[in-house]
Amino acid sequence: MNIESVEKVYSNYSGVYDLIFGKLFESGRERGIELLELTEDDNILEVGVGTGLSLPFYPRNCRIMGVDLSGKMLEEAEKKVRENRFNNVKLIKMDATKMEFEDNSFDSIMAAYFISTVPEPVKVVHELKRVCRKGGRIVFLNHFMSRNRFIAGFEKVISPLCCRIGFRTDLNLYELLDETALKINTEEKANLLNYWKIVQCINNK
Amino acid sequence: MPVTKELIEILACPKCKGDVHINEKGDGLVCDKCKLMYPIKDDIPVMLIDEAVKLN
Repeated sequence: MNIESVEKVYSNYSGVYDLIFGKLFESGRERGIELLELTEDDNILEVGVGTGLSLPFYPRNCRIMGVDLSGKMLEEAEKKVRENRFNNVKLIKMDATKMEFEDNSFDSIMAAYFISTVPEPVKVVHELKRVCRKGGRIVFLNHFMSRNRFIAGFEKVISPLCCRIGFRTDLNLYELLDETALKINTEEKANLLNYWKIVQCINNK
Repeated sequence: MPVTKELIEILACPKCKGDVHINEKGDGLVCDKCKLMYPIKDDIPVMLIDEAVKLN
């Protein structure tokens, strides 16, 4: 999976994405934002903001920067920003492996259904750590490879298939966070069938 | 959201990390050093070198 193909898959999705994934993943998004533990005037980064499905759940007294690599998905997000007058939201098309933000630019970061869609997750996590201040919350909302060996084996087998629709199932969260020295603070299950996880980390720099 | 001054302040040229400024038409962010223009499409700045326009 390379970055161009990821962009293409999600650009093709943009028109129907909300229909397919909107309601299904809503509760996870809401809880994920709670776990950012936001306070007034916080600067938040959402990587992989996509069509902006999380935007309604952020408090209006915080500033949100949404980045994504798919221009088409961002156009959908921009529509939501206009329709709902989210004056606290800014959107930029950017590559999450090399972001144009200074170190410590954000108080907290949300990565919802995102980290398993990128070809280089380790690079992305290093970037998240760089642009988030020390002690800030980084929340991952995602499906990660099961700790159950039987299910994990099955996920490895179906992973190439899932790549074709834009995400992979064999991403091992614990290895990823180990490699990037990011520690888990809390971890809980989310959404239907508890197949997805919300992981809250505190940026230790 | 239109591209505001505040937003331009935090953005840098992806190539040289230098400052960018908005062009006269208001449809792109320019890096004078790299002579590149990063287009603003539907109010969304595209900060990718591959999609930048070379300026003469």
